[in-house]
Amino acid sequence: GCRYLLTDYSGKLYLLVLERDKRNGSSSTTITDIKLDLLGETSMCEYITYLDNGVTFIGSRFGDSQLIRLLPEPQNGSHLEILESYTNLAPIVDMCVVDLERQGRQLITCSGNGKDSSLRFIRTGIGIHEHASIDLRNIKGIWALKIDNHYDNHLVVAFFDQTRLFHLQNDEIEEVELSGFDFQHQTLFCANVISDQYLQITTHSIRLIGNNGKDLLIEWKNEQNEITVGSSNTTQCVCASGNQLFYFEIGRSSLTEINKCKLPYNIACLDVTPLNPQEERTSLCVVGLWTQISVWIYRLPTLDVLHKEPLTSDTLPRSVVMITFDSQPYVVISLADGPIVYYLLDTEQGILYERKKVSLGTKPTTLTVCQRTDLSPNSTSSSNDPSTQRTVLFACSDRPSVISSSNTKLVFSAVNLREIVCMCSFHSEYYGASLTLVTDMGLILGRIDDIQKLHVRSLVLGEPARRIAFMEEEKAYIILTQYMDIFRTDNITPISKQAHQKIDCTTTIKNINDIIPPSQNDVIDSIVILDQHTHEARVSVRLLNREEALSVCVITFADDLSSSYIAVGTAIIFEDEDTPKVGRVILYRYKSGHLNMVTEKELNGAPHAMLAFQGKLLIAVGSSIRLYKFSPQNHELIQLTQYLGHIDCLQVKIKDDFVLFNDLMKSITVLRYNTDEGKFEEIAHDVQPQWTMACEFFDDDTFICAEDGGNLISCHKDSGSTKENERNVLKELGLCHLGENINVFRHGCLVTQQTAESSISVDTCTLMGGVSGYIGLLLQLTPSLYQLLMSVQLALAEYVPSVGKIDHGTWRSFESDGRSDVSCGFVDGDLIETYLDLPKSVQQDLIIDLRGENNTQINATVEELVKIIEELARIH
Amino acid sequence: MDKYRVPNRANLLRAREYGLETSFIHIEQTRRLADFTLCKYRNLTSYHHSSISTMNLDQSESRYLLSGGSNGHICCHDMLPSSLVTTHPIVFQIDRNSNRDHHTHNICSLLWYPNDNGLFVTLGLDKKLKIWDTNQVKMVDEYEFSNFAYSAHMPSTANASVIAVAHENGDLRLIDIRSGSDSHVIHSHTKKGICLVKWFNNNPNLLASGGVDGRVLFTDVRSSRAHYMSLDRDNILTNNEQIKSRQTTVSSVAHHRGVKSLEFLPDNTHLLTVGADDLMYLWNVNNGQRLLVNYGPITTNNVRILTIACAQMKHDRTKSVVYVPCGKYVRVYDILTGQRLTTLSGHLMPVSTCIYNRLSVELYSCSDDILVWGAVKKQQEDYEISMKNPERRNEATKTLAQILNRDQWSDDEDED
Repeated sequence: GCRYLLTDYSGKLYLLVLERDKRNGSSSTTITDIKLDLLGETSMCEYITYLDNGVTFIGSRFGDSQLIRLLPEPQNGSHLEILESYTNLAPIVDMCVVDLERQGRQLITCSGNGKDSSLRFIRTGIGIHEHASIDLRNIKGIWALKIDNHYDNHLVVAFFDQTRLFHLQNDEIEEVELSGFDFQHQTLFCANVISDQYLQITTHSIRLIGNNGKDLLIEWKNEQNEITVGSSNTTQCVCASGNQLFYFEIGRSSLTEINKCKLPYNIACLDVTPLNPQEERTSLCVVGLWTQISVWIYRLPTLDVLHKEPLTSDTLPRSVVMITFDSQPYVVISLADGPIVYYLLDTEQGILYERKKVSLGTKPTTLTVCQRTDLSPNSTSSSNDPSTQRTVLFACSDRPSVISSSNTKLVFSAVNLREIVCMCSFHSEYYGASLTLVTDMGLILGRIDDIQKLHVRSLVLGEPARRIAFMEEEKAYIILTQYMDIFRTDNITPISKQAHQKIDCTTTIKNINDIIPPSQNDVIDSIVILDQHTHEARVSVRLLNREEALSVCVITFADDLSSSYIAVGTAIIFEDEDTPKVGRVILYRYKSGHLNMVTEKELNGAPHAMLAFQGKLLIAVGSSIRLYKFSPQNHELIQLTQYLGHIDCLQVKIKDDFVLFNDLMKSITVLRYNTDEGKFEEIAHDVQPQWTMACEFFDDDTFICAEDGGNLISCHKDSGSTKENERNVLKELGLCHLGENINVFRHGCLVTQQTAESSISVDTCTLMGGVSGYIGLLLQLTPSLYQLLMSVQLALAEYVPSVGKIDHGTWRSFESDGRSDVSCGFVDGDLIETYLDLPKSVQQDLIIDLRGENNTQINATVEELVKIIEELARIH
Repeated sequence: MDKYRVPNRANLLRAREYGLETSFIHIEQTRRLADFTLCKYRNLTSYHHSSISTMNLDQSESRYLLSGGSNGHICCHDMLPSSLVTTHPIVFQIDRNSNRDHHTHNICSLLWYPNDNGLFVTLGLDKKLKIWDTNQVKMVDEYEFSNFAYSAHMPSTANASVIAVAHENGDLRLIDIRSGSDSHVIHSHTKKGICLVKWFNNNPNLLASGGVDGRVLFTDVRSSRAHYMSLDRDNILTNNEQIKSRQTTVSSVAHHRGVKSLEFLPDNTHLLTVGADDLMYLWNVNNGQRLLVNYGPITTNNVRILTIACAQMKHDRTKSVVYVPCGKYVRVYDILTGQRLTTLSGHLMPVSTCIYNRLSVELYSCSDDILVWGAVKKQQEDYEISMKNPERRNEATKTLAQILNRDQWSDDEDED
């Protein structure tokens, strides 16, 4: 009871010891001394919870929460060891969505505060941790072999007309030639088979190799034709030559041809993977055919055709795999133009049923089976959990994906790599479980992250970033940062001080020069330009004392299309004023690494937001919305028009010639810019006084706004109405309590549209970022889909037990200061997705008597509904 | 005024983005609270030809403002949107021409049903209390009394259905609108009569009444006693032990002359009273002690009932402001210190009623017309500057045209 843990502002952890005088006995103790020892540095800490055995949880609001162990003896000058760190995005102050070439999208958030500030790069899908890479081009196939070892230590790499063998020892790689292997032909398949033998199928022959690869035991050749495809498990081997199918059994030094048959068309792909990974044999073989695009199921060893399934596709199957997910056997077929078709397989009858199709990439997709343990070896907590032993399927294409199953549905998770030609799992002694991935640039040996999670990387800034903008031309991020002296630490240099080029910003505006204090301030605002790829600070601009940067945008002016500019809005902020009285817009030109200040313009308020609008600069200054044009001759900004009459316009959004803004307390207003007259016209506004935080367009007539109490409001503009008072008043369509304060809305979603036949359009997807680090996705539903999902939601809300017995309707009902209303117009995706996890019978029961508006019957089948919800689940 | 100073809005917005400020709304409201000016460009579609005696704002949406004239006419304005330049349309009106159930004498009290604005209650000097259906503007129930009634009130708690009516002969009548019973009468005040009755904010069984005799009584309607507490102006809260605070006796009076206003503060523990002796007192309702706050003389002239408006901030209860009609002016006081913050002038006749709109953070006051006050000083200045700018003149006429259009529409609607 006399040792305490303390932290300060900057996350330094101290141990406070009260030394007691024990002489007086236990009844009364006198504190004789206080000692304070520095233990080390953690994240900026909000809560400390001492667990046990020197392990302490550090709960952080602005940085990653940490699990630390206190060490009795210092290591590297610190008395603590960080055991685990939990990603925390809070608070998301601003974010932007950036398209990456052919690799989906990335969301960049400005997170954290003080020394724990960071930019977070968020992507869906799975990240790759690269261990090593080999520069090899034109690889056609790759297989791992265990030669004289329990771990994979050799890689067989197939090229168009030759094969090479590499030996990996520790982190060294060397090419070897083992005499048993054929290096003159392209290898089609290679694997370890029973009795420590190796099977190599080349275009020329099938070779059974023993004695650690030195001796060729048996070779089988097809005299007439080349072998076109081949596959095996440890005891069985199939290969095809044109339209001929051969079946072999592998024994100790024996390769026996058991059966063969002739098919009407050439064989494109085949597979004999045992459905149960523990078994060595399978009684089924799947074959994909050319010309008559179909898959056939054969019974082994008799080669009887059990089932013929036409693929109803114009392109041929590229690879076919039998695999068991959650004890349900599947046959997965990839087609040459990208999509994947999968069926459930009846192992007894050999019949395929329940066809589903998902499109992944646009190029031929190759499927490879991997054990899940290869993928996430570090999931230490659940290593004994059989679920981690599951197999997964790796689809190599221009949009590589991992196919796994969760609650008996297949989950497709994209891998964040550009293009993968082929891959194999490689369990090496040195790297642990890993994968070899072949791209068009070479070969990567690496480990991949956990499946189906947002992939977050963080860039420590050391000072909070307030706003972010992306400049496409220069591939750079522009961030506005604020350095505060009280959060100073010795370990982290703020990003603005790391910049290669440092500029001080001055002003010629008299009003500003008059009021800024000359002395050095403990708060310094900067504009920092970061490189998109290296994340290095290229340029930083230090603003004036007391000047704070509030908004930024990248703009190309209509009067000067030659180059794009960076506009930054700032305000001079004194604590004793109600609102900032003076501010300015600074215009920079940034080209090939050089930043030049072009002009500045005085403002009489705080520029809360700015945007490029029809080649002009749109700024929300205090209570007005103003439009500026740039005159390239005089290098100055000229105010064209303004719209007045609100309190403080916080955010502004544009769509075509419409301008949407939200006011501090007067909800949202829609303006139209009349190009002929050069003026703003008020189109419609929400009459309710609403303390808003952010707003966004959904489409021309639908808008969303986030409220201070953690509520969302969607509004609709009735532009077709004949009555003027209906036309210029926004109708509230939906009200919903989100429980999160939203700082920012951005259009876009992290997943690019996958399925061609998907019924859901992701055009209206809007991401939202909240104070608590919350990232949400909003999607506009069609009326019929809304009716269906809303009635499902009502049924689910009654069935699914809620957390803490808080009724779903009560929790989602709109509740703000002085106003409460029932929730409407919003469907809760989290609740809807729980439908997928329910047992089939319950799923059926829930939708028996669905009623929509006006008590109309809604007819839906479980299959349709599951398909819709799966599609919805796939976009996030 | 320093008490109502709050941090720079830019800093507040920043703190809110980082989740460091949870009472952002209340702080911003505080900023606006003591900074009201007349909204020159907001008009209510004019209706009343006589002076306006009372007003009431609905509690569920803070949107519809009922006003009653001394000639018995009643009208309802839609107070949204609270834009800088706007004319608020009339939603409905009750007068000789439009409704045969109209009041014929001065309107004493207007009450919105607290939980739902589908119902409202009117009390007139024609000795009638009427209950109306808002959507159809139709009278649904009527009570007629033998004595004049000056004031009526309904509890704002949920499921309240009892209207208390203060009669000129000192009787307090309770009307249950669910059963229609109006027979429950409490003889609480002397024959001089009661001016005012107000339910407690948080308790549907307790009410306060103020009489012409200057007495303020607290009554528990469940109990058989006429009242359980009578406020005494000499029972004061003080730290000075030399002064012995007097306990209430039969002869206790709150004011030397009649009580003109009773208003509970939103914190439910304080009561403000204004008397015809031109004094305003602050009371603790739990022990009946008077707090020693000096507001200075408040001239009430010959207005029988004043409605004062209180605003209290949720995040900081000490930030509380009262708007008191005082002759042709509305005075703004800090409640706990008695400091006069500002005086709002704009009316030409004595003001009778002030109503504070918590959602829009604005004040409505009435004398012979209704004025709107808000924290719009800077916006109005900006607007005036932009109107002087010739480039903007076109738009000004357009706004005016819009106003005219809206007027036309509202007239159409009323004729329907």
